[in-house]
Amino acid sequence: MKSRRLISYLILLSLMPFLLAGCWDRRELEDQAFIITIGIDKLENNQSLITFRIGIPSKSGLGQAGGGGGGGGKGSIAEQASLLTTIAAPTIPAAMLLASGYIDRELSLLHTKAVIFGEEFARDGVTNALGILTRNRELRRNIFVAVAKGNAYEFLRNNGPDLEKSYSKYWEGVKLMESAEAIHPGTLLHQFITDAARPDKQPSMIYLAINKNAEGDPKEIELPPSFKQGKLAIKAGEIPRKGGNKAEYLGTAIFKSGKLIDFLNLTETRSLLMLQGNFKKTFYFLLDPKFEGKQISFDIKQGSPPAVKVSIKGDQISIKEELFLEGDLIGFQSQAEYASSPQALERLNQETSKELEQRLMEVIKKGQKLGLDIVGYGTYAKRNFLTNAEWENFDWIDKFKDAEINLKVNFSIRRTGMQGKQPEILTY
Amino acid sequence: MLSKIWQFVKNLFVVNDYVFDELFNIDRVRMSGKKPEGGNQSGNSKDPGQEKPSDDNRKSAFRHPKRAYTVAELKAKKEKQQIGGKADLEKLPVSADIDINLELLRKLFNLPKNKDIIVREFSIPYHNETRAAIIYIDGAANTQIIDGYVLQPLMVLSNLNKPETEDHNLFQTVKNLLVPTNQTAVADSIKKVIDGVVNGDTAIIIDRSDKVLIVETKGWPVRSIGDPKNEKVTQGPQDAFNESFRQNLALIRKRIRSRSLVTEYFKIGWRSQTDLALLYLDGVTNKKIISEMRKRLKAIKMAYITDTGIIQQLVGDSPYSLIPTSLATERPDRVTAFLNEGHIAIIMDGSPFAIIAPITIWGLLHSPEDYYLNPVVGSFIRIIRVISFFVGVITPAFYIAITNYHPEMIPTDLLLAIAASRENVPFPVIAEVLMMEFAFELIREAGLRIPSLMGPTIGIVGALILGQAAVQANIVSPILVIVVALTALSSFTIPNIAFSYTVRLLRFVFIFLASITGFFGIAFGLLVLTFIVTGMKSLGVSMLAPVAPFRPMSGDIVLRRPFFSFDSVPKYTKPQVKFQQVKLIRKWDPVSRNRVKGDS
Amino acid sequence: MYRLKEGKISSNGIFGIIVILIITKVFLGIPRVAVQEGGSASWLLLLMSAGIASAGVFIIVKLIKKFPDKNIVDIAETLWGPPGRVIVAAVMASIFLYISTVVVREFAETILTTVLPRTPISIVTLMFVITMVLGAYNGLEVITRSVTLLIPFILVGITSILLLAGSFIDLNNFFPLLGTGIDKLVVHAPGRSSIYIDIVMVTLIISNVNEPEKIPQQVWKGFLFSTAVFVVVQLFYVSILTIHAGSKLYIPLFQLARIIYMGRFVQRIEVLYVFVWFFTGALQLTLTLYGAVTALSRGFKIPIYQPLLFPLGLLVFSLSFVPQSTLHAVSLDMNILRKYGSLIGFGVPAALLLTSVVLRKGGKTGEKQKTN
Repeated sequence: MKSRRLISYLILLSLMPFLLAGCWDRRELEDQAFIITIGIDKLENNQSLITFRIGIPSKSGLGQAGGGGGGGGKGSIAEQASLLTTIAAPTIPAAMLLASGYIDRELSLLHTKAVIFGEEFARDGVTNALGILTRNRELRRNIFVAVAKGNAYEFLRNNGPDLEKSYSKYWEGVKLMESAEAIHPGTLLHQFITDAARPDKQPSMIYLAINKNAEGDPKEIELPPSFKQGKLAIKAGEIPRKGGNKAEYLGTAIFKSGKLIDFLNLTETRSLLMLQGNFKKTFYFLLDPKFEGKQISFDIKQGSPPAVKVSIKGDQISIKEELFLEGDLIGFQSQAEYASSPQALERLNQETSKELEQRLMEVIKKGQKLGLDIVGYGTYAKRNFLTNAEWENFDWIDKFKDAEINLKVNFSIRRTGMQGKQPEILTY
Repeated sequence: MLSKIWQFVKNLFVVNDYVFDELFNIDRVRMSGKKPEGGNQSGNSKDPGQEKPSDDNRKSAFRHPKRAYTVAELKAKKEKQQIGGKADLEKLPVSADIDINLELLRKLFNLPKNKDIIVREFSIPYHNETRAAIIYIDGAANTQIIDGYVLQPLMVLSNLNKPETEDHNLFQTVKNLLVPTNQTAVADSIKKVIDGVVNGDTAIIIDRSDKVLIVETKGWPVRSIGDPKNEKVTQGPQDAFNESFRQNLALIRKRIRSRSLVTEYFKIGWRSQTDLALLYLDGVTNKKIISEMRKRLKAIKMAYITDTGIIQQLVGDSPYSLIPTSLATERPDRVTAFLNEGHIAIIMDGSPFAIIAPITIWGLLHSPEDYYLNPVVGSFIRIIRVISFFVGVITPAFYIAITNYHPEMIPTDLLLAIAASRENVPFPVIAEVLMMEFAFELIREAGLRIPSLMGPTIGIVGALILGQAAVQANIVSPILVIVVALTALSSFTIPNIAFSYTVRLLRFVFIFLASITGFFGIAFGLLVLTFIVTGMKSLGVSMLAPVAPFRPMSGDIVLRRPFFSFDSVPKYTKPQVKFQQVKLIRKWDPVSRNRVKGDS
Repeated sequence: MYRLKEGKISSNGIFGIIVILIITKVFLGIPRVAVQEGGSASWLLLLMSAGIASAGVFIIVKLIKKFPDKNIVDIAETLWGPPGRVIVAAVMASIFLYISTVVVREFAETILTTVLPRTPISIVTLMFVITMVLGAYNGLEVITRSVTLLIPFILVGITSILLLAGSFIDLNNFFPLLGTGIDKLVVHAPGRSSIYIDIVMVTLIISNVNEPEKIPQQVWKGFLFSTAVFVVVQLFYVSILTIHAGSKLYIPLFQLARIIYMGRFVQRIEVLYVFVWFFTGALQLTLTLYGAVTALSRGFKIPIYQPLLFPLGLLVFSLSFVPQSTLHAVSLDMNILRKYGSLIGFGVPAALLLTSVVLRKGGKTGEKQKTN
């Protein structure tokens, strides 16, 4: 019984120093400024141009506050509710230090959603920047990493989301588009640095760009030539459109030795994600194999993860990949009997598989040409080795260039939609 | 204070005797002859009862006389200072002379001044007229009984059938033939007479008899049995204890009609002589628990005890602990349920709360309703209550920790919204929280003390002024109002009053810890709390039993198993029986037959 | 005379004690070190080291069975005389003191790097030391009960990290199957068996256990369970982080918590795991401090240990500042204690067992001699 009292004294006594010393890590919310997006661009002499997008709390409720937000300021609500500033500094922490010279709140990276590298910076190599990004306590490994065409600050400056009231929500929406439509790889920092460190898979990033032709008269829209071939070979910044947010996220930036070397367009990006087995669903359209000039559209889903088998004989690598894709028929323009005759559907399946195989091969070949294993066949190849040393001595990347690849796509349409036979329209 | 600090520092280095002692623990087998009878304290420590004045224990120079004294002799003795005072007079035996007895009693009761002690002198016309008197307390005794069953037979009916010869033992005749009341007692000392009278009985003093007949005529004013005020249930019994000792016992007897229910009587308080009953089931309750509680009750030496709340503090294991080590309840069904599982209960006259011990933390979080409803529903409301315990203790601390230390936890949009609402408020979060919590404690305390007519005012003041206006005046941020409301609600879900105070107080400790080091401080507090609670015992039973120390599940902790599948009595009270129901009740039901598990 | 505050524990409690003593290292450097030494076969490395450690556990169990009513200090006295008692007690006390000191520093550094970067380390260490002293003061019974109570939460915490971060799992990361190669695994495994030396604590508290005959069973259970935890965590760790990233992370499990990304709401929740961190760390430290103090008090026949607590706590507090940096503290743990510790931790019981076999003393053999 007495010991209880002793314990209570002990606790009390132990708390005394705290009372006197105060609280070191306590920071009020209203004393902090939360950086939502960081942009990094290249300057000469190992210096960078660093852009911060900082949320402004007092304006973050603009939407509810009535019409005041829409009418008064310029730009979207998200733009008004945030501050954009660009600083020339050697590193991100240095830029934060400099920024505190005119932003009277402590800058915090705790809520950073995305780090965007300017194209030029990325071509020079992102290794230096990554060192800081991973060591910092406040930045976590689940932020987005992306490459912006031109300069990152330009992208940040022109990115005004229309639907979202904040940039963090915007980036979450961008992430959503990866699983919903597979239009970009949705790379997180963690994935990028993991892939960058290993020989068996090469890293990639989201590709961003500002569409310079997004404003103006819809009559001026130019049709990209690839559309006519049933392909969507466009990247961010090339969407033929007028109106809406100028910032686009479409395609993949691929890296070699930490340096940006090439991009993949929309079709290639989707092919890559299919090959990697990292994709859930996408809308896809092809030219009708039977009817000239007509198109067929599907929703393609991944039935089960791709089966990959890598066999190595000496220096000769042969890779067998089998994909299992399922599709829902969304629509076709011709009068074919895809939705009413199983034989026609089966033929369509085979034709589509062949077409897909061809498109997927293009991506692999592109990688091989660049000396990269962007799909990550190396992860499967490791099964052929017993120890890490053997695997590292094999020099996978170098030998992958000449690898022989057999691709097989099993595509089958499961559902044909609400309509049976194509509705007929009488011509008279 | 300084000496206490010195003592504390000394204790860190020096071996004190008490370190070897330990609280009563029913798990442990004691080494024989090691422990003296005298309570928790070790042999050499002072028994607190010994020093306090006690009528029973006081050694006086005055010895009991062998024979009765006359008034004159008494006066002479008093002059010689042989009789100490009224306390000594009490010990005298009843005299054969009615005058002496009446004189003594009048003196002891301060009679001319004391107006509600009634002495009624009369004659019993049995053979020949014998002088007699009755003494009772007006208000405590039922005068209708006295008139009809004491005075009438003695004064009137005794006249009808007069014996031929003189009755030499009129007292026996009165006792056996004349007074038709249900309980009588024979008192041979003045003390016993007084004890009878103050308990509402009537004393019949008969001349030439050295005994006094005490007749049961209790007629205290009692409140009728009402609804439970604090422990309401929607489904279940709706009666509650009141201030009447007998009625309370009757409520329990009504539920357990077994000869094995024992009500051991104690008189607590040497002046108030309050009735107190220790209830247990003979053959079920562990004997060590009973004797330990008996010992603790006997150790109470106080003049006057008002309520069982004081008994709780006097017999509880950790008097300083915030967490109660016994359970006070106003529900008889709760008491009987606990008795049935091998616990003991204490009922005291004048208190509408029974005490139950030993108790576990889980018991404090249970409500009888959990048992009356379907096991799924019962478990659900229990889970809600357990969660609300943590919500009530930690939420404000959590809020402080998140906003001040770990803003990354909040979704970014909400974070900016909170920051925006905080921008108008000039105080730091901790000050805001303390202010609101204090205001809420005010509302709660005021709500308790306010005359019931004005009750609704409190709601308006609390909700409107504090909630609405404080936010509008930018004194607190709106989100904090939610936090405080949440904690308030959750502390009200705790069914035990004492335990809900625990929640209220612990909350401030955690607010303090969180404001120092955020989550780390909360984790620190939780671990220290765990250390304290796991070390706590209620009448020798660990407060966290049967979870830590781990016993095979009794099925009655947070989740409640259906009745047909937990047939054993909780093992942590070490009861003398194993089962409280036949192993397979629902024999006819193939589903529950499979559910029943073996006892081992 | 029986001891008040130490209390008696049931043999079930031993299981919890052992699990807490061992699995703490999961939160510190072990997953990283295992990847460094074993590559993609780090789980195999841990399995192998557990296999080697099981020999040590076998020795300890054998010793307990041979002297079912004596703690290791008493055994040392019966076998080696009073000097043996003192030496063994001192060795035991210093092992546990070393563990306490290094681990308290590591945990404090962990807390500092993760959630409280600006708080002085002394405050965090102080809070750990307060908990240690408080827990140990209340005795083994209270510690064991707290352990039983909190172990489920700790395990739920670990499991939830693994499952929530599980969206990044790639089973290909287990290959190449043999990692750094069987030769390296064989070289490193004996050293890493030191992870398990804390089990030696059991030999100190035999007299506090109610059914000593059930101790061996619980020791084995605890040992196997902790090994399973190690291996499962390692499997997840390697498959999520790959050996390339996994070998470079400070506070490995925390990094797993940091990459959790399950939609808009379930992310950035790693600070919640501070609870798991603190509970595990503080409980383990309480146990090791208790071990150090009981070893001393029993070795020198001091009837109670409580007065030793405060000075020893102070000692741990001040010694924990000796390593210059996080790196130094980690290397004291991983490169010394958890590499060569088994020499002492399992060596002392082995020596005792050997002596008892040679001298034919103790347990059943001793009785036989008497009857003869």
